Amino acid sequence: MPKIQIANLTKSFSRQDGSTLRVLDGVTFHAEENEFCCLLGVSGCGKSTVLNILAGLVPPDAGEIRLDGQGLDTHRTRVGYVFQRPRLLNWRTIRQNMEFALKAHGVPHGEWGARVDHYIQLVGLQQFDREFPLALSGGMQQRVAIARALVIDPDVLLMDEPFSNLDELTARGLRRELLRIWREERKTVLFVTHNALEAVYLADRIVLFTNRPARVMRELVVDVPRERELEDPRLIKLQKEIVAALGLQ
Amino acid sequence: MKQEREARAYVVRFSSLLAILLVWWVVSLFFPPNFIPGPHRVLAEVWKILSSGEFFFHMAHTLKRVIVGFVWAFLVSVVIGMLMGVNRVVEQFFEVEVLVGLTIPGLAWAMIALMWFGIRDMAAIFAIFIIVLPMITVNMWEGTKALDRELIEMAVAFKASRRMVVRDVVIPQLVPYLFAATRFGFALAWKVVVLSEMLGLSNGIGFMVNYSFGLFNMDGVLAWTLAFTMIMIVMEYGLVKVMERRVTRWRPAMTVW
Repeated sequence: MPKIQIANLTKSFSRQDGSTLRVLDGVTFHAEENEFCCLLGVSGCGKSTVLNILAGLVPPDAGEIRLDGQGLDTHRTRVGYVFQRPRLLNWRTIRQNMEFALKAHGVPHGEWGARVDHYIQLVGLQQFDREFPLALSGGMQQRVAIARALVIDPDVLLMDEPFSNLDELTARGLRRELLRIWREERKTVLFVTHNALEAVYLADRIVLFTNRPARVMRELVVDVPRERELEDPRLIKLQKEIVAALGLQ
Repeated sequence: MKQEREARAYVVRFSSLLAILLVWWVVSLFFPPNFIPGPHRVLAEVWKILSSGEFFFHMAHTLKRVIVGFVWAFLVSVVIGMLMGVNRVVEQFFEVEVLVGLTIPGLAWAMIALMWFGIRDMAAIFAIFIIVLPMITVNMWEGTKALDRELIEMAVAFKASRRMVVRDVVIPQLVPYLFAATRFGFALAWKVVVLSEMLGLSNGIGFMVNYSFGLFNMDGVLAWTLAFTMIMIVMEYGLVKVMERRVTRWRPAMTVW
């Protein structure tokens, strides 16, 4: 049974001038347990809306979402969300930022210390736990955001272009690290990106979205074992295929 | 390193005060003392009104009026300002009043309040209230509009309760605006209360400045003004800045000011 099943998801937004903007038009796909699944499409095509619906930030107009075969209750599901910007509380220390997520999810106070220690260690920031976010670099802040998403032991990890605001070298380092963390923690990941190379490097499977209104164009399995090399000819070939399918170049 | 920089900042500030005193003293040498008295004369007068307790009697009256008027204005305008930031209809409703309110001269309000309430504390309190109201409202309005919606979204995605969102996400973002509002609001309140006291009331700092003016006593005018200003500075550095530094220590250290 797939971890997440999404069927015929539809969403329109009303615009200032009164017209409606159709963003999702019957989106259907699934993700297996512990699968790293990339949602790939051009910017602004509506991929992020799928994540926002899963996180309960936006109600869908129609469609069905199942988690472990059951209807999704957005109030109960533990969703770890990593955004494009870190979105940390700058007035709280790194540790307090993670405790914020634990408290919000009603995790008993007694578990906080051990959990925070574990995930802060996992992202390699153990000596920074009493620092405030603005004392950290952008890449380190994004690590905190990843740790915050994992510390609640989420049913699903949502990532919305988490590395697109970082310089390429930092992004490369964090991608490799994300895969290491994912191997250790084994989560179902939905990773939104517009970067085809990033997608083929990270994903088990790639779901390609059409431009707005978004539908699923096709799915690709990345059948290349890890550790992968960015320069691997198989990845380059897949990337070309994707770019051609998206109608770029 | 940091202490060194802070120590230097204090030295610079202290020298600036000394320089003013020096310029004052030099200028006073060229004028008769009832026109520009030297700093030593004024400081002697300050000492006199402080040691006789006269100053504290009048300061207590002034302070009471400022605090009552300010607290009322603060409570009302924080609510209005935040509602303006959140709701478009409320914003449109109050926008004109706030902008007009900001331009009405304090002197006009001080007079109107005296005509309405007579020679009573209420005249000063009302004048302060009505002058400070639009100033704090504007600050809170801006602060609420500048709230980072992405951060609130993050909190909601992590299933934070409404209480957590307000306490941990919204209020900390409003703190800098609250401080700015307090600072500007108090500065206005001091000016207005002195006007009210000059125009009509029978005690308070403004009354004594005006009383000295009536006797053409320049030492008195300057001494009362100076003593009052010193109290203001002590409150700003001793209270507002200390509090502000405590609640905004998460900001990366920039230049000390």
